[in-house]
Amino acid sequence: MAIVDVKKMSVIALRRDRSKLVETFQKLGKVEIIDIRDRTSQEDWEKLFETQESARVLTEIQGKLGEVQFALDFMARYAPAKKSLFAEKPAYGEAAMEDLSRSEELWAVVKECRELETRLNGLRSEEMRLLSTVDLLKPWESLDVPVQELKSTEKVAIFTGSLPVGVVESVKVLLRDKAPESALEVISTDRELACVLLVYRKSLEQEVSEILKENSWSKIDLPQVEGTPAGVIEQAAEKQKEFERIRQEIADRAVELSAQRPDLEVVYDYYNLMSGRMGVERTAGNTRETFYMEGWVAKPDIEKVKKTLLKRIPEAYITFNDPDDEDDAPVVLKNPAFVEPFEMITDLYSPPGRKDFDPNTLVSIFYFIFFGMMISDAGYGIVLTLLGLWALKTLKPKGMLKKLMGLITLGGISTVFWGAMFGGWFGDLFNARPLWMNPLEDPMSLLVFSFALGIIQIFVGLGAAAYKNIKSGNVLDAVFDQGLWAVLLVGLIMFAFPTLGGVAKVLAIAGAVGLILTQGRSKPNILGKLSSGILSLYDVTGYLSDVLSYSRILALGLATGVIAMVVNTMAKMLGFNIIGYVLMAVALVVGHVFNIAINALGAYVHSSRLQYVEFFGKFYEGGGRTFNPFVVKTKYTNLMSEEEF
Amino acid sequence: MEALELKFALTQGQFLSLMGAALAVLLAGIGSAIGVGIAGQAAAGVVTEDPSKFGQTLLLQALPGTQGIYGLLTGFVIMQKIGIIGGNIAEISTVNGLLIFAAAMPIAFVGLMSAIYQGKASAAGMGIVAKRPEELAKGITYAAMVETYAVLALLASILMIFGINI
Repeated sequence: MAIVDVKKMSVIALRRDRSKLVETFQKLGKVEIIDIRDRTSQEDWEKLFETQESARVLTEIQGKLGEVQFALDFMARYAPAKKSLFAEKPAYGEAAMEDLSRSEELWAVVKECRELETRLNGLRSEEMRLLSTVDLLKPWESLDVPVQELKSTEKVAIFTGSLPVGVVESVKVLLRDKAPESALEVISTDRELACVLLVYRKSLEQEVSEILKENSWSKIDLPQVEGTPAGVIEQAAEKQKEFERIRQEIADRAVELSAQRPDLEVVYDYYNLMSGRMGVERTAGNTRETFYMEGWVAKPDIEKVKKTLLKRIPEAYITFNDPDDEDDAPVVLKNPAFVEPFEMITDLYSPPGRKDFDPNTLVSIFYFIFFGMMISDAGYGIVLTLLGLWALKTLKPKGMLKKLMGLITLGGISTVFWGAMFGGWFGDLFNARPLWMNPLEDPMSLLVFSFALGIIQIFVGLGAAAYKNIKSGNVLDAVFDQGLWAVLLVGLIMFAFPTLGGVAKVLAIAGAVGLILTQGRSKPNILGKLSSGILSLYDVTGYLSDVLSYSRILALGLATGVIAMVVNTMAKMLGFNIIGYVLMAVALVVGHVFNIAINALGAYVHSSRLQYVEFFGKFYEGGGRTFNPFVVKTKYTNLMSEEEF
Repeated sequence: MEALELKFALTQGQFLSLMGAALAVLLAGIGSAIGVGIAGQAAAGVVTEDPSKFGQTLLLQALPGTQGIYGLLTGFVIMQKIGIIGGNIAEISTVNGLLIFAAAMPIAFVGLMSAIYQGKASAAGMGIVAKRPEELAKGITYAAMVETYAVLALLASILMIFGINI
């Protein structure tokens, strides 16, 4: 319906104009670049084109981008950016951005950030080393001998090690008996092991080592430090304080440096732009004097693209061609303002294929109705609409976010309508009279109404499937697969009305027989045809569950209403004196905000599901690729253009 | 003295109705707590890698929370029905008490189980957020498929409660 043709654009121009051309594409934002390297073999490429110098430039730019990004992250760690989400981004011209990117002062800041980080890393590893030394020395803290002196002499062996707690006493006894010229001193014990200092005459080596071996001795090498363990530990604590001080110093310096953040952000955006451009320039095939590039352009934009390009680069040669079947052409949708936000819902499922038809108009109508019914509170609707409008006006969002805000606005309008119909104005806060009915008093009628909406959507889905079949020339498929089902379903529905019983029977039987006869038509033999025909009737249960699924419209609507009622009831319990009234107001606001949030999420999720499963299941395939034009993407600033594009 | 005791005595019907309300809130609430917990653990893992995904993961984590709300809602409808919210609990026959109790069962049990499984589906959806955040909606849809049954159970419970005349 609303799928716009795309054309493949081919450009040949002089090499000296290449950057200018890419810049023009970026600022126009209406061209999706095709990377022709993807379909050219390395061999052909080398035969046809000269080697690229842009790869090196791109790496260089990305390196700089990475450095700036690092500096920004580093600053954010010590001085979190206090930017309001809703503040407008500052606007810069490209020339001003370029000037800033050459500022030596800024690069000095970036360099200093890197140095500070290196210092921090050094500090960290030194600290780790220190901590592990302390850990090792901790059990030996009460040993009052400097560690460096615990070395065996010519005649005396000195060892530190551990023994299981249980055997210490017996080892002592053994040593006294078998190796009298030895001493064992317990320095500390924990639950399992005792850390001991062992001194013996070297001539007793054999006896001692035998005793030790039998009693699971393990030797411990103390770290190479100077001084007593207690002294070293104390020094380490001093050092740690020093580290803390240095760290604070670095943090303070980082905060000072972050004064340059706004300018760095501009530089970041500049390199971001440049890296985008270089990425596109790389796709060009260069000869000595010229280059060749391709891109997708939506048909309505062709004139504009051509005019702007030729105005800026008169020596360029541009042609537009229809895409081939093997081309991976993107899909461009053009829908009216009401339908556009709902494209988001379809895109999240899968954008329509190039030859498919755009379901967004149908989706928009049903989604609009369902979303409103699922919240069904006029007060909430007003809140949502105002929120959406406010966001659209102040944030000026683009792309997906813009569609989401549009969706919230439109959904809010629908919610106001249904809320008024069902008498929900912040629940029962104002005891408003419903224009139509109160779902809490007569849920059955609304349940039937929900089913009716579901049946309508399912029939529309069948109709869409039939339309697709007819369009692709399969008229018989449309009659058999959708027409007969429609007949059967209409018959079954008519059974609900006793006066139509006779007609209902005829229609249902006609439909069923028709389906039995036709659904197996692709099977080779008569038995297969008949059995698949009969089996196909089983799909009736599928249609039944599809319809029942729409009961969620009622359920979610009731949920909103009842939760709002709970909030109101609880809040009113508080209102018995002045403080109570204040608390009541707070409870009302908090409660209703919570209810809006949870139910808007619910309405979004469940309205989407009804489209995806119950509706799209009937006819829609999707599988298209969204048009992804080459545009100016900035994070912190808005790019001002000197020229009109 | 005797009259006073009588006034405060709880009839079997009233007790059964309250039990129904309590179970609806209890079981569905427990289910949601478990489900949200499971999803939260997975979410924390994703956010460790990329803190900017907090919003998206929170959205997924919130999904299994609705069952608890449905349970509360059913409990509230029952409380309103038997007049306990106004403070004047109505006379309820044992039969009606049993009916209300039965009516609370769908959301109590389906709420319990579906919240847990929805939590698992949400947790799996966190993987989508981690690797392909632009496909968040698909993860949400998978989790929402589970919620369908909680919605149906809620509907059944509420319609039953509305249908009981006391």
